Amino acid sequence: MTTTSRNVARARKVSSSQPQTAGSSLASAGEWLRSPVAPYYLVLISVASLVSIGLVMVLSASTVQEYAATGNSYGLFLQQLMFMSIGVVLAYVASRLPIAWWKRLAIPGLVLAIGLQALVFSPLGVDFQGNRNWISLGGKTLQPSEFAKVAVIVFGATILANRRKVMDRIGLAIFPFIVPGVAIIVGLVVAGRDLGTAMILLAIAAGMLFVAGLPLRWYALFGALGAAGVAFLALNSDNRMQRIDAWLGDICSNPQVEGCFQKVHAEYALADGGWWGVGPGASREKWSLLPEPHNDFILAIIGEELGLPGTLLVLALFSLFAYACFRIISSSTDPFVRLATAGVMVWIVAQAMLNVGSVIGMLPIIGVPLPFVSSGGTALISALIGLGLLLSMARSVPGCDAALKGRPSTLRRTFAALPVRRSRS
Amino acid sequence: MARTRSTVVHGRGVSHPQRRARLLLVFVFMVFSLFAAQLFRLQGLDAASVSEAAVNDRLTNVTIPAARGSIVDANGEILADDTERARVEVNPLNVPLYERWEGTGAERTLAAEGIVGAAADIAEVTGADPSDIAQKITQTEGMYGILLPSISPEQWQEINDLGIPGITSTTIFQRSYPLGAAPAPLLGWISDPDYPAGGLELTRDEVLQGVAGEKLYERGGAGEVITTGDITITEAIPGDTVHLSIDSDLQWYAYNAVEERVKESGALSGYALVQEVDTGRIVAAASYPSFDPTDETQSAEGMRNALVEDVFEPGSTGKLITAAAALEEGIVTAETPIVVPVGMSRAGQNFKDAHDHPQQDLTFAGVLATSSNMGTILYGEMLDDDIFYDYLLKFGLGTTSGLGLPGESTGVVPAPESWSATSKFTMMFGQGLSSNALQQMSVYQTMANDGVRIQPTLVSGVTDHDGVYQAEPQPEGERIVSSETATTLTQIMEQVPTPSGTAPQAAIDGYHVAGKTSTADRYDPELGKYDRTTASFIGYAPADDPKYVVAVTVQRPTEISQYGGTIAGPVFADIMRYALQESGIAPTDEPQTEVPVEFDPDAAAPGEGSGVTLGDIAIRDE
Repeated sequence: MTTTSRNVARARKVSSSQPQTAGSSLASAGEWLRSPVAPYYLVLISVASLVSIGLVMVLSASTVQEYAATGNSYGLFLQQLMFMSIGVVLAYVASRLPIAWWKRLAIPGLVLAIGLQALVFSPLGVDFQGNRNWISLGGKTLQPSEFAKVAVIVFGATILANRRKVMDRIGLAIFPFIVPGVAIIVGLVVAGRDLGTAMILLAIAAGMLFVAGLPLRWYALFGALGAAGVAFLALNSDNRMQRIDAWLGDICSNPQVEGCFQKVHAEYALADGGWWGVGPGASREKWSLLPEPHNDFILAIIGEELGLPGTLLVLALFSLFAYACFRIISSSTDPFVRLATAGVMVWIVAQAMLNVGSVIGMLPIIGVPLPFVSSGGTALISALIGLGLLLSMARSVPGCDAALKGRPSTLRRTFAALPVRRSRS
Repeated sequence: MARTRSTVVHGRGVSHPQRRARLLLVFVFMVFSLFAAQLFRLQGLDAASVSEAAVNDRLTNVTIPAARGSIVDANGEILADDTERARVEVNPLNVPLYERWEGTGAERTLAAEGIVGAAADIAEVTGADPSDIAQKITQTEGMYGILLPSISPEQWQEINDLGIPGITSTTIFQRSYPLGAAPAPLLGWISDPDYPAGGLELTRDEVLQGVAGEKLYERGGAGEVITTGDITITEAIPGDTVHLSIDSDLQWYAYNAVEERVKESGALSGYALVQEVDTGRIVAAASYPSFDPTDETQSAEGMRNALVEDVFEPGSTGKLITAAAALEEGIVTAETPIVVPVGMSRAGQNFKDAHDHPQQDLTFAGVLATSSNMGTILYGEMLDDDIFYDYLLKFGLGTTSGLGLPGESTGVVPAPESWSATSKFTMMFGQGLSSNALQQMSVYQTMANDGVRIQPTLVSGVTDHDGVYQAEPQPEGERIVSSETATTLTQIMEQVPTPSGTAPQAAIDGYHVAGKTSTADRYDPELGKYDRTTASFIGYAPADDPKYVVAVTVQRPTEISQYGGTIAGPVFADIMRYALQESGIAPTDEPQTEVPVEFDPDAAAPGEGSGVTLGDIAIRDE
């Protein structure tokens, strides 16, 4: 607790000079980027942009199939809009949650996550496309493994925060974070046959241990174990082997080749778009050709309609997000903040990598949604809770909260994100 | 910030979070750079060829059927046209996926599902029996079958809105004939699939047929048109409209009249033709029995066009050619006295008239008006064989009528070198040669048109798909006999359909009618011998300025009578009266020209020496 109060004191000191530099002189972009509020806004800008692009593209990609299925083109879009609204509210609440509260929620959160995940195997569970990873509550379905990601991050950060110096002792590094925490969750997810989510969970755990400072030699061992595990799971499923064959086998000469339908149609969509895209709304492949156009393959539709600038913008926004996370890690002194940030960063970025890699043929098709962009209620809400967590961490960066509080209004605070000339005070 | 970094205490071999996070960031940037390079390849460098493959994969084409051209009558009334219909097809493997929900939210209930539900919903639209439809779906083998051969586009819209998986449709055109059987032999019929069979449908197929179009489009996964994709539509070009000289009302009237007569006289068949005298245009051409042109299965026999395919021995109506030749060649005049005996013999065969009578003193006019076979032989035999034969050909016997209808028979007119000993005599009164009803009518048209024959025509023009009307070339008239000969014969034939003539049934109140009956011995091809009669009446009116020729023939009447005047006369009068009234020809109250049909053998012969009587100079059997 003493550390925290000292941090606050330091933050106050920094903040006293902050308004003058920002308000009285021409703030250059470089200068602004170095300011303690920059990570906060960079996270906000990148996520807001991704969510906006996502909403527009979910609308575009889903209209045809929605109309065919229900007669209403906007059904899925409006649902997505509703999920986003819920997510934004939760993100706001999460961003206001003090670090002490996050730590207090760590264990109950994990227990709740394990409980929800176990419900998948109760009569409430729902089978969807070969995976049993959903539960149905009052007519709404939700994917508890999405919330488990947040729970694992908060739990891990809480446990590992106090073990900075003992990370070379493997027992302390993995207990109780990996075993039993992550192991139970991943075990339940794998039992539900959702390999994609399991990989994200493992990536989050590995990433957090990495940033926590786990010696690299353990990664050789865990890497070998992980590879063997993935190979075992893949070999046990014809579906997964087919996907790997389609990825590496160079067999996909046309969409009719077994296992190549999605891959080739994703390539078709990206090629249709070409340099500059066919224009918003004009996708051809969304006409019941490319499967999951508004979900796992939304990047292909973005590429088709918005061209190379569209797909590169998405990559740039995720890169910006990663950079913002790095800035929080590097400018914070609180181990909890660093680890929680690293967790969210690995979650979002790894999931984006798996998704984009699948769509552009550099990875086998794994079937994870593109964070913030793809349709899907639970995924979007939990990702926005992740955003709230990040914002909460960003606020704790020395000088940030004070700088934010120093601004009299939300409106002006928002303008502070823009490197423009401000009126003299 | 630097101060923060320096205060961090390093554990044994434990790396600093900042360094690890930087490594992580570098890794992220590397991977995203690789991804960007791959996107640059997919969307930039390789895009053109892959995109071409993508478009080819999606492109599909459908044929847009062309509507067949209409056939219309002289007033533009439809005789045949195409109606757009939908043919519903089924893939029975997909139908079981059908689900129709009703209500919303918690009250949502499954209203119909599977084949049974789909069949019930389709039956609701078409009014068919649901179990029939369900059976048809389940009995369809493979992935394709025709469920409903033809429904209206509106019905298809309703079925399509149900969204039943595996139920699709193709636009088809269905031929409809508003007048049904009445003009059927003339128009022909369209067999399935779209093959013209008989009549004008066949002979004018080239212009009636449209050019099918094509729609080339990018197809979505559910078979729909990708509206934002490439769409190339080559519109179908509908067929041209063929205009006939037929008058629908008259055609209908004539058909009903002949149908009724054939039925009540227990006859085999009958024909009724109406031709415009001035132009040669056929205004009505009906034959009974006919067929239903919308029935998809027709027998070859049922589809015959009896009007041009039936040839028969004309009988007495053929005497007009003999009379015209004799007048034109100067052998006789209207007043030439002819003594008709009770019986006579030529080439070893006995000839008699239709009704036994004592010796008659008839003028040439009287011989024609009373239709005396023996009188006809007496003056006819004075004609040279070749000249007589030439006249037969000049009137159009032995050649097709020129309408170009499929299956037309020319009939048989034997040349002099193949004549038997009696051929010449029988041919003079229309036996021993054959022709069709059109050919015989043409002889009367020639007389009605002052001796000028005009080939009959049926098609007056064609309107193409741009609405440009092109008239058919109309045939030039050809003078066959002099105006005097035609006038004389018309005046003589005016004596026939009068209350005192041989065919009072053919008379029409208020109009002068010129015409001729015929009761021909009918050669029955089934029996292989002559049996019963062909009863005809051919005539034209008004006699002083003829507008129409009407020819009525009834084959093998078995009841009422077997004579042309009795059987065909009333039908002729009926049709002619209707035709004249329809075209607004005013009746006349002028008295008819009287032509003497008998002569007084003791009267002085004009232009001869004194004491020479008509009886002395009369043609007689010597």
